[in-house]
Amino acid sequence: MSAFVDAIARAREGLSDRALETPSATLSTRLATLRNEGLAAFDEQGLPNRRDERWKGTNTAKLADLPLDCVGPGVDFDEAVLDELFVADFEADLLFVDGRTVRSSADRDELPKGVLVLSLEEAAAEIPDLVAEKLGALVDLKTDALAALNAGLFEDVAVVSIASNTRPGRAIRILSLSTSAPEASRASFARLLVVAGSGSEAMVVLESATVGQAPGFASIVSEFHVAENAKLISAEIQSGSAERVQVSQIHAALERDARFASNVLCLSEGLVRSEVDATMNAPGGRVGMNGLFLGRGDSHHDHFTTAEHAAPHCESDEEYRGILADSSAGVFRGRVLVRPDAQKTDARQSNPNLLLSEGASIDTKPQLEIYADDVKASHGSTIGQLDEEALFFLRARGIDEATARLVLTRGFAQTFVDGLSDESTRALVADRLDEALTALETAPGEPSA
Amino acid sequence: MAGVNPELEKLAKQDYKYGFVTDIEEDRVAPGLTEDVVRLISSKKNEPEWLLEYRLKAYRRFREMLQEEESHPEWAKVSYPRIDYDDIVYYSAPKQQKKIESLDDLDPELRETYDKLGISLLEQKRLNGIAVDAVFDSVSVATTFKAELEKHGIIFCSFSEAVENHPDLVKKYLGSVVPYSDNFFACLNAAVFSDGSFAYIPKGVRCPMELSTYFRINAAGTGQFERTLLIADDDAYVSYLEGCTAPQRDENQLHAAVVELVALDRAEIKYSTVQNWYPGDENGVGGIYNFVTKRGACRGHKSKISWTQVETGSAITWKYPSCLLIGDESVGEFYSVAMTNNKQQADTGTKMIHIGKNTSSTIISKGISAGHGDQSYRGLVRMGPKAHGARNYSQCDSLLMGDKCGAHTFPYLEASNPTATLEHEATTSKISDDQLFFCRQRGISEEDAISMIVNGFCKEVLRELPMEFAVEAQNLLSVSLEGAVG
Repeated sequence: MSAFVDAIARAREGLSDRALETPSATLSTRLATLRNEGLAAFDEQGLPNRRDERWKGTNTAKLADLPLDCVGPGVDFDEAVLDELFVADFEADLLFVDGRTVRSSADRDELPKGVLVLSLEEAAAEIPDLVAEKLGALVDLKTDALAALNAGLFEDVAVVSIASNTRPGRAIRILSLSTSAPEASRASFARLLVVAGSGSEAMVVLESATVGQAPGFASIVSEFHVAENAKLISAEIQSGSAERVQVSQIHAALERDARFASNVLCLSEGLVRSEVDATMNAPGGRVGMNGLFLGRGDSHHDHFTTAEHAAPHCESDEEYRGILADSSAGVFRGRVLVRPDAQKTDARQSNPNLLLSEGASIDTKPQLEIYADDVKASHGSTIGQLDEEALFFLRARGIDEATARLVLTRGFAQTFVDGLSDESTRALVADRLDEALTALETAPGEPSA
Repeated sequence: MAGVNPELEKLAKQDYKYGFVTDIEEDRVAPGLTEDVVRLISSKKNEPEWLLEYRLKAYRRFREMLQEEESHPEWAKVSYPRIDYDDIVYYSAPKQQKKIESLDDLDPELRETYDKLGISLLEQKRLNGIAVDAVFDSVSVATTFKAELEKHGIIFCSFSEAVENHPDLVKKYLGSVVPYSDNFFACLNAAVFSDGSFAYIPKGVRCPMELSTYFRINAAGTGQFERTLLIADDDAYVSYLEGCTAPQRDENQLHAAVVELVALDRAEIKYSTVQNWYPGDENGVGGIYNFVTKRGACRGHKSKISWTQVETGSAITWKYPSCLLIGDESVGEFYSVAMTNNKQQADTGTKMIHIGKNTSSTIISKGISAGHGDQSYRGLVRMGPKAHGARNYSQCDSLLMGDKCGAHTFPYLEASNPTATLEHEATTSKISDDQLFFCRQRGISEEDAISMIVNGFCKEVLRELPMEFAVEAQNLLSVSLEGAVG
């Protein structure tokens, strides 16, 4: 057995039922079911490996061999640590550390009207039935080992509820930190549940970051339920240190005329598996999926997206951009699935990639699976490098090479930033990206043009 | 809309016109795959010891593969029950009393078969100037134009003859592009292949005519395992055509062929296939399982291999003609039209492996899916770390007809060189009502309009085919398609 599975097995012996006890019997039953089914499904499947087509691009040995000392949240978290982190500027409505809520909106009165941001404990008191109905509803444990493991081991949930016909006017922000220390390398399981009522319009920003350089594992499963006529935008910023393995799984379900857009910015220096899966269950659904991943050092980013058209008259539009530097590797798997009878589907997908150095690699597989005939579907994928002529143009105007390359790379990335409608989120994303790009261009080992 | 059109109905129900059986005496071994069968095939062909050893190595590996769950090629998006490899006849040859000296001595019934197929050897010889090697079940029966080719030093003969007369060449190249252990079906083929075509174009020779092989599976319960080996030496050029048909039967027959191409410095090989194996009836009964491994190695500097295929037949197609671009500045091309109707399934595409510097490849794939047909384009483009300046352009378009069919695209693009450039685009759509209306309004019948639109859709590929094949391919498409639109 692998080190990872061993650590999980040890942790399971110490699992308490305390987390499953809530004032609501319905919710308690639901939590118990998720835990039992999750663990059973994980036992059945084991860790994913390359023989599974969905994991072909990623060597999971790094995950399997992770030396783990503890699983789940630690005892205390000193919020003072936050001030020293680069995420200090992120004013979170809910702070999650190693899968447990440290601070939630119950402490604050600043939330817009009609919006609730709660820990599982708070949600159990306020909206237990809603959580029991929606939690875990979008995840198929039988075919997804890592989601199953998360279902089996999560202790807390960040619950965001947006009342029908409300428009909060500002983004709702969640910060999820995963800590790990040399003597206490940790695996943590976090969970986010967002329920957008009919006719509401909201944006949820999730920033996942790591504390400490030690090896560790962090899993977060997010579920977005988008009701009729609702519009929900999610933005996720992933960053992590080189020894970390991070898994983020986003599931969204859209009802009639609903809109959902996911934006993923991945800046991690470690191993990342990021999945976005959106299902249009009723006519008129529209899904947008945007992503930007920046690989550097030895990072490995694996992005797996699925746009499932299960009803007619839906639209999906996807653009993932990859920038790969140093000896980083990028993997993109974009799946467009058009179910039988999902007529009048319009699906677009594109994946341009920029390879910046020797040793960097990209493995991309956009795929269309179509079972209806009256559809328009297209995908495009490119792999290339900075345009020599554009570089020359800038150099000829007295701009040094490093700056010229930075300008062009930033230009390639800008499309992603421009796609964000919320101003404060756009500024935040631009900041994070700039920091990473600047560090990149001054890094040693840049090839000369 | 088309359901009520009697013309279309008729066309849709059109029988597979190559579905006749030729009644000739055949020499076949009992069904089953054992070491004895492999030895028997080898001895029937008077093969040298090294070739028998090669077959036995492959046989043993295949036996292992049968046991290994992961060796079964079940990743493709096709479904069929596992084949019982011990229930297939691995060798079946038309019985001949004596060695034929000239075409006139050929069994008249055999000749008639080819006449029915429209490839009268004599006709071809006189009119078309194409040299044909015809493979009937497992044995190559006739090679036309041999003398003419010999004048140029070109060797074009059946595989068995090549083993007999040019063992050095065969030994040097056999399995060098597709090793026996490459994949499940290639391994099976290496153990039991019975015959096929062999061609060697010497240095600096431009083959004066198109070489061609016609394959036909005739006997019931048999599999066909032919092997083709083509070598173009420095500065040589050859264009090779391949056609296939099979009789109509309500059982599935296995066709597991291997094609190996080798292009040396500045050599060019153009390989065209029109595949029209029996596809099964409208309920999916019968038809050929076409599980073929085709691969070309551009070993030389500036060498070029171009694959063109029109796939209209077979119950299931599993085929990825590939190019290994080893030599610097070598070029790989893949042009494909695949058509699935009724219950046909196809998982086809290509692999372009860029190894040398400044290599380039082009992929144009057109898929047409109708009825309950299900097809996938699956293609790999890999730019290795040393493939500086490598270029690829891929385009995969699918056309859907009817709401019960499926069309899928699985491109695998991998680049590990920062100077590599790769572009891929794919679209899926149906025939637009506007286009149809435009044609109908001008008095063009619906089936002609559809045929026209489909041919237009495939034009980029069809124009790559040699003339004779282009005409046949267009007709095939019309026959296979019309009536499929609803």
